[in-house]
Amino acid sequence: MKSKQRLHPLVILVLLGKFLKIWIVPIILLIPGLNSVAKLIHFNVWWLVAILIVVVLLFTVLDYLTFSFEIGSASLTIHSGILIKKHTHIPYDRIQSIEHNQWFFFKPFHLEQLTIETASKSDSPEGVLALVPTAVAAQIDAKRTGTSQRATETSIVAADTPHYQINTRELNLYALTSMGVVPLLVALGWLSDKVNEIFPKSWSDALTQTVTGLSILAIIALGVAFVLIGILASYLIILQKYFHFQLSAESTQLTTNRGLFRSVNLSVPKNRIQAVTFKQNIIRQWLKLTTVATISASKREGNDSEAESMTMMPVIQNSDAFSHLTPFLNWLPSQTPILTRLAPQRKWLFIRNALILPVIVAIPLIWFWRPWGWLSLLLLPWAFFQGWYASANTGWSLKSNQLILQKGSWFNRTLVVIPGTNIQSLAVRQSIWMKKTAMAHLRVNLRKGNGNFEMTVRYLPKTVADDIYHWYTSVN
Amino acid sequence: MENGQPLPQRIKVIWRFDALWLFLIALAVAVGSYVALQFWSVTFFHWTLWLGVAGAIVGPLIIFLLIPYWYRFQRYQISDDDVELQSGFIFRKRVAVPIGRVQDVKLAAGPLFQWQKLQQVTIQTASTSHEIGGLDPEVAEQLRDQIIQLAKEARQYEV
Repeated sequence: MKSKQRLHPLVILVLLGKFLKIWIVPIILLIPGLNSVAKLIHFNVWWLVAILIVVVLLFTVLDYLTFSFEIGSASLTIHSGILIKKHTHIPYDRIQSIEHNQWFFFKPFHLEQLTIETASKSDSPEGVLALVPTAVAAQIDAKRTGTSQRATETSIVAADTPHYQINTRELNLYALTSMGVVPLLVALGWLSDKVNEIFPKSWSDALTQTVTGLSILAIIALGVAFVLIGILASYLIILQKYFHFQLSAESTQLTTNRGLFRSVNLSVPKNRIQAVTFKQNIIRQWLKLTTVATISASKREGNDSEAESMTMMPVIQNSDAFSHLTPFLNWLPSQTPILTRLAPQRKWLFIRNALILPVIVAIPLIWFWRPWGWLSLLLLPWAFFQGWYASANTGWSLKSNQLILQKGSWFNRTLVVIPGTNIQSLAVRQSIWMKKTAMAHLRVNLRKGNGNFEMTVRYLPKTVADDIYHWYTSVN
Repeated sequence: MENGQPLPQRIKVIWRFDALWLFLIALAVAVGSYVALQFWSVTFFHWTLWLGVAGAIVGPLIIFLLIPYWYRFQRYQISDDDVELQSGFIFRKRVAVPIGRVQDVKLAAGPLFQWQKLQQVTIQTASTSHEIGGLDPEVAEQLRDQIIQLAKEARQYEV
């Protein structure tokens, strides 16, 4: 079968949705400007809006009409471009990963988005089929696995393919303990700030009047409600994102499935996984929950970071994490590794470093801005705690073929398990003042996505840093 | 890596030229400001004049004082298995890059480097890049050949 196929016509709606997603904020901000332009050229503003809508629609339809693809016997060919015609040929056996994305409203129509990535040197995925019938997606999947059948056959015989599904109680805890509410509150604050510019003045005046008319108690209640709504929203966002999260493994790749409104299916080849990270914010640390993700080499950049850091387990009990993970990646240790910690007298160094900046900020504030400047002293205990947290969470462990490092910063603890052969380069730093106390910093560089991921552990004993350095040059 | 190699002596000539460029740039700023002052008597140009004069004197002096320090503590070592770089005394840094991780080696030489028969070498891994200030062309080419050879061998194993 080698005939040109178009995307499903509903893709026009998808493209319009994407356009709106990018431009909705600039458009809202532009409305007052548009109004004055219309006045300037004595033109009804609605006509101007109508012309803009027609132009956008026209381009979207043209985009749809000029985009087609062919499922050949050996490769997938994509034709695109309105003015400059582009033809992309993707041989099936060169495909590295395929991501399926399906919004719930496309489920009854059996339509989904396919993102196809190869190992080529381009920054964007080689093929995006924005909306195709699931049958077509399955056909491409079959062509791809058909060509690599020899490789996968053995695993099918083995039959014992590992599988993991998130547990509802843990997902609830995870969503509740997310710090996602902070950016959400910032966004809400930003929007309320912009209210004045977007809506007519009479509206915002009315609003201000109502607010100033309220008692202090009512204002506090309003603030609390604001935060609660933020927490609820972030809770629901996370809940729907990781709804029914599943992880499964074949011989050569890991696949995750998740999502309530938009189901996402992503596969990553095992051999591109550079390291595995275990992350916890301070609340989850208390609840003994951790998030497991991969660091993968990939060509893809930009908003979709999923390909370079695939979540393997959104949330799992600390004690279960490693035993649950080894069936998926056999090189991981099967038990929680025991880390060597910093000597207690070293903790002071972290605290000192964390205090330097707040002290520099606080002194002039107190001097020049008399009564209120004293408030900046509140920074000091906070910085002290940050430094203490970083020192308390520093740890390391060296195995025969892998290095395990842990650090803490901004109330987030990160543990990374790194096979020695995946470290791109390694540096040991020591200042002249650290010589006396025989300490050094260790920095490990890994490939993440198309760039670098750097893990630095500070104030290790120099002998440990040297051991790791020699271990690194010997395993490679 | 205390037994590492120092860079070729000739690299100092290039660093001295760095001092010269800095001197010329600062001098240009000073002269420009002086000329500008003849037309517009603005405080800003007084500032830039003094900045230029100070830069022309202090900048090259600092570089000249630092050259022996840079030279003394920059070492490199290329073995069969890895490239090691070391620099600094006050802030000492030691980096290891296994040959197997190196993706490509870039050799570059501007007019000054060509005159001094030196090559600037940049070693690129899949995620980081490391620069050796200057090497003898033979050493640089040997490093390049070594990496090409290793890549060839890796390809043979893969098939």
